[in-house]
Amino acid sequence: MTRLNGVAALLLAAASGVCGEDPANNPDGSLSGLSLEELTNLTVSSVSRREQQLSRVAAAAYIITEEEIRRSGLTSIPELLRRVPGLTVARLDANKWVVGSRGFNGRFNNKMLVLIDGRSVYNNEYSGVYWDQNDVMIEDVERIEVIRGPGATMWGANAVNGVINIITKKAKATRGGLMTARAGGDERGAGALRYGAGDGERLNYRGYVKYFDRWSLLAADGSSANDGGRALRAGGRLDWQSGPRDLFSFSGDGYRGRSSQSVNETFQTPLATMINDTARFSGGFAMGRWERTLKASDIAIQTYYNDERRSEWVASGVMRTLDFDFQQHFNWKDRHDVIWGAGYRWMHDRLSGSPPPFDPSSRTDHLFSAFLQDDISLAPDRLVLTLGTKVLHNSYTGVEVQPGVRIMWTPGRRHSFWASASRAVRTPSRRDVDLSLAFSLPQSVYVPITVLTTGNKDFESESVAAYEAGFRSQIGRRVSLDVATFVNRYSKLEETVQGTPYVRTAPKAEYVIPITFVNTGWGHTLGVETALSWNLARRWRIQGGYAWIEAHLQGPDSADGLSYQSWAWLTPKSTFSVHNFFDLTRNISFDASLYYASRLPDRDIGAYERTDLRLAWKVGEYAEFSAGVQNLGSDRHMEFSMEEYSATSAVRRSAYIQALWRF
Amino acid sequence: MTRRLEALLVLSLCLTLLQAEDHGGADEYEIKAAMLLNLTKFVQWPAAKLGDASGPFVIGVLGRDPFGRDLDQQVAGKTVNGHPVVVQRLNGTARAEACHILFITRGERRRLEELGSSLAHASVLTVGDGDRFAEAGSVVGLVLRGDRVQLEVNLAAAQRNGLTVSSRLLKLANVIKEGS
Repeated sequence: MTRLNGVAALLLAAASGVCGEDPANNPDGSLSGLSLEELTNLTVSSVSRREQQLSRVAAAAYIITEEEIRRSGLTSIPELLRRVPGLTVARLDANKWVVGSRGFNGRFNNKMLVLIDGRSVYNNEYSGVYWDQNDVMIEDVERIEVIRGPGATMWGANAVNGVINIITKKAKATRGGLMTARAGGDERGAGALRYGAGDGERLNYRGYVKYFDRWSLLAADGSSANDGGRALRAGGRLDWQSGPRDLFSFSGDGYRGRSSQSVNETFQTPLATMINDTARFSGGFAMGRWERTLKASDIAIQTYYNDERRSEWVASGVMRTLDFDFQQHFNWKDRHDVIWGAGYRWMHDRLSGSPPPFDPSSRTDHLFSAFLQDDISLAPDRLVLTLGTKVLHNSYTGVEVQPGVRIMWTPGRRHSFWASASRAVRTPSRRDVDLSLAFSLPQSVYVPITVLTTGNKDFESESVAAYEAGFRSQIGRRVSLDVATFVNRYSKLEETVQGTPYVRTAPKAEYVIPITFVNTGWGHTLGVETALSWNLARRWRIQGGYAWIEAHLQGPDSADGLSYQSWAWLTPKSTFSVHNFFDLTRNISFDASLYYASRLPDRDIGAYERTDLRLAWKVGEYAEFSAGVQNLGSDRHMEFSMEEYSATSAVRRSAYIQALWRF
Repeated sequence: MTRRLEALLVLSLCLTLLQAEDHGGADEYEIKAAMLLNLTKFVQWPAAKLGDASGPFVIGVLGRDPFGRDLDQQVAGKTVNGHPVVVQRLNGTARAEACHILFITRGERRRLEELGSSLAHASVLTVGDGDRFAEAGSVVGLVLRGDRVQLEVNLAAAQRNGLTVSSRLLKLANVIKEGS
């Protein structure tokens, strides 16, 4: 409570401080006295900028801007996603994160789709994202767009509860050299070097190399969790504007690294026996994109190839993806803004282990998809109705249809209201269908007992019917508010069940406890998410958010003996964050962030808060030094409970220094 | 305790909101309104178009007005070559030819084609709000690049509309070639 009083005092101080503040930019409060050159150099206030980018989106959307990324002092994508109101991010160990939107949290949150420049990094084998091997150079990121709720009509399957799209800068924007070096924080040491060149118009390119060596976090008893990691990554991008209408873009990267971890041999949380392991990974992608802009329409063709190799205790193998995507956008009869597309994705993997974790151990899947979305302006600029659907055919469940309808009403440029109803599915992954994991209980004395977890060949897609509504409002010149609410109705949710034990004689005589996946869960969730951005004073800006969520899930008890809701949900009821951006002088900035998550229901993980501070000093145009403290408030805290497969570590207080040099 | 906290929060919110309206931030449309006025220093209209000294200099806004009070406040009392500046909100393209500057809102880009022929040699400085206006045939496009408003200029369109654009403007703007 004392902390909250402090916040209130700060707010009050701010409010009174504003009275004495000079209006931005010009003493008479108007910009008309400025020259055109001065005007082109003025910064549009971030309130209206964010508003501008979001004003036409009839969905719960949030954009992490480049400035926010730079001033956060955070070095990985999942840590940055903490800043999005309504997302729950929890750190599992030094190299693993839970990133969830609207519930169902877990390391492999199978209801979130993650894209980097339109390239899916969602894993077809386990349904989720390997955050340690899917990385970018943070300084290359232009923005991160996050849509909470179904994005299936545009993005396709598995965008059940959210879509994260990481968008990197055009090569034109990264000309010249950049070098960063960092010590402390999450990393023992980290550095990156980027160089870009080009004429600024037709042909531009860049290349980078980055390396990090991450500290281990702490185990429950305060000793090292032995979960550090390191990775080396190199990549680049080339943009070629071959004419006024055509833009070709090529990008790619290659990486190699390792993440130490503590894994559970038994896969059953109550019977956990932990062993130390190291995941080794390598891979890369190559991507090409062609955009043609015509007067009334534009088209984009994109293809990429992704190759990932990973070797760890449970399995080792290779996963390959080849993807083709076509998209066209055009206006039709004035009132229709139509976008449609079609795609094909080839996915191949070969995963081995002893015993082999998947049956069959190699598989090739094909995914065909097409979508159509029409923004119909019922009253120009005021009322827009969006109808859309995505139809796809996948190797597991055949045809899936994911329609959506959205409406957006914009009574004035400062206010907009939207509502939507949509359906989305989470298609089965290899794990759900082909898993074959046998574990012999060490305790069994008289008869060998084996727990056999197998996939279900008849596993169906999980589905959601989502009903959402929200509004965005710009209040005065300084405040913008974004509120979204939702009710999601789920059916055919995944559940693990224990079958009837039996005795088998081959490959050896043993008592088998079978466990498999079924589609027996159902229920609904509801919640509210708010985001606020407030320019308190010329040199002080606040951004923050609060989200509340509740679930009512039903299903048979899980194989672990937990009720369905406590097994599947794993989501804090409320989360809160507030970020302060202070420009102390023209060259010195100070940023303070507070994050809060309430306790994890049904698990022994209490509420936690986290405070990050950062002080940065810009020296001329070319150098910046910064220093910061992360997790200031406590020595260590846990953010999530143990996963079936790996141990969860405690996040500790840490400090870092960083230097950035442009040349 | 909580009640006092709430009261403090509400009070500070009210205070700040009151301030907010009075103190201009660098609002996007405030910048764009100022740019419209500033453009008049870099563009030359034929004497015939400007008419006699008492005739007004007309800035037309086609589409839903995004400026609110910004534009009216900024033009109040301003003149261009001695002509008082007035703002007119247009419902259609009928009176577009009579404008000196025609600001075309985001949602009205499709009108460029129909305006194209009627504005030829009408000496109207068409200014589009957003991406791809200049490519599509407006003389100037005001585009958001990062967190700054930048200018795009289509010289072919300027010529077609019978306007002379100062080379000083070309230094500040990106020169755009017309799309087909």
